[in-house]
Amino acid sequence: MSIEAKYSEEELVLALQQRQELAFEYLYKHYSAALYGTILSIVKDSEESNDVLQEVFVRIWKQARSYDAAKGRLFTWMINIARHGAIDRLRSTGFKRTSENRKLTESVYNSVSASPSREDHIGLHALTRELKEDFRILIEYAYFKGFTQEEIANTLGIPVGTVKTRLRAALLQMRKLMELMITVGLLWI
Amino acid sequence: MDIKEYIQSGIIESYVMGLTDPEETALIESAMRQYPEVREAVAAFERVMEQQAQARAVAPPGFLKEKIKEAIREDIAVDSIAPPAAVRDSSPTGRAAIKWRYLAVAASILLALSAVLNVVFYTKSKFFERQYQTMLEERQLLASNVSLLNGRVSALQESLLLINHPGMKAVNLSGVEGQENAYAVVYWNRVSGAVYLMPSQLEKVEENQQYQLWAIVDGKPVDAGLIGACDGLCKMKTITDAQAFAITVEKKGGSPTPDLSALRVMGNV
Repeated sequence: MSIEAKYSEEELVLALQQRQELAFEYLYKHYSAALYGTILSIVKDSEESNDVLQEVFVRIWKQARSYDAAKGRLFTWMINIARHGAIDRLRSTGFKRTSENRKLTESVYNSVSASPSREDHIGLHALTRELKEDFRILIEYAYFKGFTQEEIANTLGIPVGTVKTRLRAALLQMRKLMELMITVGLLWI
Repeated sequence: MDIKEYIQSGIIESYVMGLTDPEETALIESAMRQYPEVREAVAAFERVMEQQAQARAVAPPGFLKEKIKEAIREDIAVDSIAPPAAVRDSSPTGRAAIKWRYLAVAASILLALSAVLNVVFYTKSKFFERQYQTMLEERQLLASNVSLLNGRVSALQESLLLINHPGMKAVNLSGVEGQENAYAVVYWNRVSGAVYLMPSQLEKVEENQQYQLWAIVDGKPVDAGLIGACDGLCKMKTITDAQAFAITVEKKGGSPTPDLSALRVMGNV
């Protein structure tokens, strides 16, 4: 079908919740690359990322009715589904790779290294490298590895309260970087 | 609750990025309902996140779309053929896209402008480079001319000094019969035996020929050296005793004995 639909955000949400095919076309055209970029920055494997993108679209499609505009924009909702989908994949493959007799939590900590890797050049991941190391590591664990604040506290051996304050400071700095990058975005892309 | 402080605490960023715990989530969601500033702060950061995600978007492989569509096919509404009522693009997403489009157009114009300027500056720089090269070559030519002339001047100065030396005797060599125009001067220092020649009026000889100076000692010719190209005076061989000097045309490289039929000039001391 080649009809190109144009939606306001409310109309798009409505069409999506009614599961109209055009809504899928619109979503895919406008958001698949942004979602894929986010997934890729976490999973770092294009084969796996393909699977995750499919799962994410299925989830968006099926859970559209649970989206609540009062809690944020549709894109934010979708990108968080994508991030969680990617982290789930990362954890399950990480678990498979180190399937010894260890407990799940242990193997998760050990298999997902927090040091920057060669593939960390996509999206937000590239930005985190501009942060100071203790900030970068917090965002790495929290955003890219999906650790809870308790898990981070355990891993780094610092109190949960410290994790909380430091993470917020890190995010504020990250935002400054993002805004800066968007301002000079044309050079950066 | 101090709303301003709350907004600047990093909670907005944590919430949008999905990093709040259930307690924090409940708090901010109620704050969003209660305070428009909080709602607006969240929306503002959502836009930042979306812009950054779109800026670093990576297109998924082409085959994936049909695969995904297949996966949700059973869930696509059968009656979903009606396109949405509105065809205007007034959504925040649309507006962002338009903004990006404007930026892209502006960037293209700047790029084109810079390309034109590149050509202009490149051409100009090439022109100046050529001019510079030419001037450099001219300067080198002038410099070598100057050093050539300097050499000649100092050779002539030296000649002048030699000629005016008290012990120096000038011997005029005049053209022999049939060679009346030929003329040369030998400067000879009897004490040191130094001989110099001023070729003054000697015609050019053939490629394979050369003038040779002879000193006549007790009636016998003694080789006094070949006459090459020289500035001012030509330094010849040392001659301690002579009654006369003569110049003949010999084959290139000179001869041990003169060819008297080729005598050009001669003069007694």
